[in-house]
Amino acid sequence: MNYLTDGWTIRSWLLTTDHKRIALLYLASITAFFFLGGTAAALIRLNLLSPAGTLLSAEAYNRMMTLHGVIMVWFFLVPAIPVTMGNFIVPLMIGARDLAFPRLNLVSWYLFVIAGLFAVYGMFMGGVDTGWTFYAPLSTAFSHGHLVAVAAGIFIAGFSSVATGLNFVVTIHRLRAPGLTWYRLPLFLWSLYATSVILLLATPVLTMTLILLVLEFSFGIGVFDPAIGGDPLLFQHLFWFYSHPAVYVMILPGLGVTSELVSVYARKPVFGYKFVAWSSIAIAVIGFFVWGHHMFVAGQSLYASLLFSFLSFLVAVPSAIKVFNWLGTLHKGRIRFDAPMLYAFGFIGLFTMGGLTGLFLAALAADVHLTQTYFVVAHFHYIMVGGMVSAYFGGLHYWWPKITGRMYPEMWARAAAILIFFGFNLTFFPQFILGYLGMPRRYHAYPPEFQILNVLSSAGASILALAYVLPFGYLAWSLLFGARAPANPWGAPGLEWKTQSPPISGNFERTPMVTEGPYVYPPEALPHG
Amino acid sequence: MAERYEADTDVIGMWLFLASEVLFFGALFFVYLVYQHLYPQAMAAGARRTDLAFGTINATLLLTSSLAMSVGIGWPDRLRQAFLAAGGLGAAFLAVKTLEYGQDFREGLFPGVHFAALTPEAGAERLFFIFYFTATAIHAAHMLIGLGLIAYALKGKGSPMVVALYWSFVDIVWICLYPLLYLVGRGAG
Repeated sequence: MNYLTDGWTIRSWLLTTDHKRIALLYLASITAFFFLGGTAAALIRLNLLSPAGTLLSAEAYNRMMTLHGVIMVWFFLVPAIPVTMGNFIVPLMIGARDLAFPRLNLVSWYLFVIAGLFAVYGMFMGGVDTGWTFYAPLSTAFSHGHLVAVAAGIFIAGFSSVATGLNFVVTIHRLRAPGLTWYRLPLFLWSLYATSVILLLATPVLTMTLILLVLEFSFGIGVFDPAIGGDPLLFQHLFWFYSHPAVYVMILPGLGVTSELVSVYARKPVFGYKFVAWSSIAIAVIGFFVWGHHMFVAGQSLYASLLFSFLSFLVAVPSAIKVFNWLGTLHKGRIRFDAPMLYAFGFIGLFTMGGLTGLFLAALAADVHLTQTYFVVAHFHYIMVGGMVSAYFGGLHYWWPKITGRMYPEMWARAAAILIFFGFNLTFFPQFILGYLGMPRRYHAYPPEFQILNVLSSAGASILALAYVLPFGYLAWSLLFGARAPANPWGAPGLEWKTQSPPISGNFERTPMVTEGPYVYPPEALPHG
Repeated sequence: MAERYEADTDVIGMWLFLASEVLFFGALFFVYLVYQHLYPQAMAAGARRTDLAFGTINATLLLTSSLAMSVGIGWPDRLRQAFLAAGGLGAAFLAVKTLEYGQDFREGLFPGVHFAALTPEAGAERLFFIFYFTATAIHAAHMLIGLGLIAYALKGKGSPMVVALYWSFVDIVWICLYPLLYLVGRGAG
């Protein structure tokens, strides 16, 4: 008997309050959004095969680009790891039966689905051509897309985010097993805690901004309307006050997953545990004070820009602490190159690339040259796709035996991990060069001299697309034909591995007692081989 | 013991939600601050056109309502009466607000195309009323949710403390809005 076999009706899924089942509902939803957003990306890359734009009109290109951004940001990246692996693993990791508010958890999924329907409806009725940032007054006075439906989708998704963040914070405070002190928490939980705090405090600002935007768009009562003295820059301030911290929502969970993977597959405690733990908090806190670096060329005062530039450099410090500490963890470890570890290695390399190129953009003078070019596109895709999606797949493979009770096929998984790494680099590395050479982003056409690099990028995208479909195929295969997973196939130390795979509905037969830190590897726990 | 722990957990959840609410209203107050800074005269001129009597009556009603609820929390035997009183005063607030909205529309204060400006800085005056209507409408929506929570608590469901926290927050928002909308501009005159 386990949580999957505990009830077979559709009702037992749609009205479940079991965090594990809700995690699977979320997994199905965000997978659909991932492929929708990915299809838009594929069309964009196809279009850019030729300088004139082979496929889409300028108008259609703008709408496709907006669809890609909106779906990927709000319906995949922001929720991705928290609502799937977070939902599934948090109560197991702390030895609890469920999250603190199980019904709120289910409500958050319904909100998410309703939000997604609104956004998809808006997109398919004609979409929005403003880009995912909806800058006013472009979005309010000059755009005639389905802004209200899409904004309503993002608005509702915000409530889902707040509910999830609130649930995690309360759960981690209140439901830890006896003996599980803060410094015994796995680092995944520290990073999710930091993520949740951002979700709680940044999302409402976006919610209010969207209300003001829709009032302006629909009723002409606009606080951002320059015609009556409104300040369009104010929109950018409010938008990025949410959206920059949201960038850390998209990466912090990935940092947490990587900390787990590096430790388990090197069979060593994470080097400098407290530094890694507090660096998550530091990223969350400093991340609230760097939003102005999106506005260096928008007419912001130079003094503000200097400050935001400095703070942006500062946020690189805790990020670098993590990278160095993972390397310290690997040092003299007994490293196994299982698929999750390959994803973790991919993550470390790509996150480092993305992070370092972020410093180029944080430098005021360099940013004037690079802003609005493909350099920026490459930079944030290294973090969001190279980093976050790698970590997402790494975590998904790592916890797959626990979630489904089945082992995934190891060779296929390794092949996919390697293919994703190469496909990704081929797609996005040329974009750094394109940006450096001055190719502007967000255009459906470009000067002919940029064609070779664009073709390389599109070729990479086709490899990447294939590499993303692979896990979808073999993970689905493993559900039926994969080997049965033991309780702890990796010899991992976390509490989630102390219960059966897949776990029973109440997670544990008896509430576990915790007597040691999170990364203790007794010699006898060595796995076969 | 376990029930007590769960009730405390609910209260912590509400505190976190209110933290999120602070940022929600914070964004709106930030908009106000920016325009107060850019257009002090026009914003003051806008504020002088609000109805001080309605605003003050409502401040009194809502503060009293919050007091009643706090009394109920501190005096569990009288919880039911206290929540009824708090809910009644809250409903009275909304009734007064409706009357006030009616008068505002008749005076052309709604910041749409028919907005009747008094000063040369018509745009900025309109910005004040965009803030006025957005803020009071969102506040009223919170009041409606609060009345729903009170009704829910009166049926003996949920934790009264959670409702009281939310209601106090709605009260605090009004304590911030009342001077910004009704008093600050008058002081400048």
